[in-house]
Amino acid sequence: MPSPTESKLSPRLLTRTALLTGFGVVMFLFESLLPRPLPWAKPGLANIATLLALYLLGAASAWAVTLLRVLLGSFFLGAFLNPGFWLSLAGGLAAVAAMTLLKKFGEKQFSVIGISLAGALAHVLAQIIVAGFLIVRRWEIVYLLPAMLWPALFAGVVVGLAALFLLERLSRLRDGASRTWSGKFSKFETF
Amino acid sequence: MKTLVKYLRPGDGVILVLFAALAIGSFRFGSFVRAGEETGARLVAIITVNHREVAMVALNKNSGFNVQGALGEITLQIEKNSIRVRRSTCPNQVCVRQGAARHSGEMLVCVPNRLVIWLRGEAPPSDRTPQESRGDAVTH
Repeated sequence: MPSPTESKLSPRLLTRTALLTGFGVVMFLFESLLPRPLPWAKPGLANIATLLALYLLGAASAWAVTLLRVLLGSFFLGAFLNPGFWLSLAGGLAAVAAMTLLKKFGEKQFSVIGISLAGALAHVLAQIIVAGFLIVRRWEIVYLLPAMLWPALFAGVVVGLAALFLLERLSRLRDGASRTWSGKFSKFETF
Repeated sequence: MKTLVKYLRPGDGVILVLFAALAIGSFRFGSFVRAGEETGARLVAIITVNHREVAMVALNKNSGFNVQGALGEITLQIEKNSIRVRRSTCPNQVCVRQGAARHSGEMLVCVPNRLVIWLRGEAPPSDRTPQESRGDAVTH
């Protein structure tokens, strides 16, 4: 288990960051295929990857996972430098900034779920500001807030729960306490 | 459930309450679906492409017309004091699926075409040119 304060860019940190980036990109592509009632209401499953990176690998990895996911995701969707790309970038950066800050200064006060909610909130606020400047340039954009905040609230909780369960599983793997996996994979170092 | 509770921290509750308060408070602005209360023949649609106003039409006369978006032609239709995007050249057709806008403050947006239509509640402009109507205001 690399400590979050690991200063050198070890191959282990690098490969794990890459693994989580891949996971984030897959989640991002998967959820962009899902039908959605409102064009902007994506569940934000890719944020699970950012949360895992933040908790298991540290802030630098979380930033890398988010930035690379936005970039690679837009390449795959053919949306690079589109208005949608800027929205994703703004949302992603705001979310990761909020989550790293909150985790740094309030690790004891917040669980993954709280951190995830903060990320979802920052994501919505950043997107509405960027959409306001980039697309509509009218203050009437605030009419969109309820339709963005409510889905984000539920999505934030769901993503937080998913990250919590995954972290719990992964820590059990690390401690070798998992009945189902320890036998098979005890040789391998896990997260 | 009990196992879940042991992971929760007080800050989670704080941020949940803050988030929910914002979400509830944002209804003050009106919802996107019903932005304003005003409907009817007094509404005017302001049509902008790339942040530039290309047309301003009253919703009291049924009509269909095209505007040039960033990608291509967009067909708009005005009927029964509402406006909608009938056809668009954009890939996702989100603007078409948005349906009709009929309340003041409501917006129709086509991001790929850089088109924003928003409704303003006021007396429909007459068919006269601005100069003539200014003259009217003086003589009346």
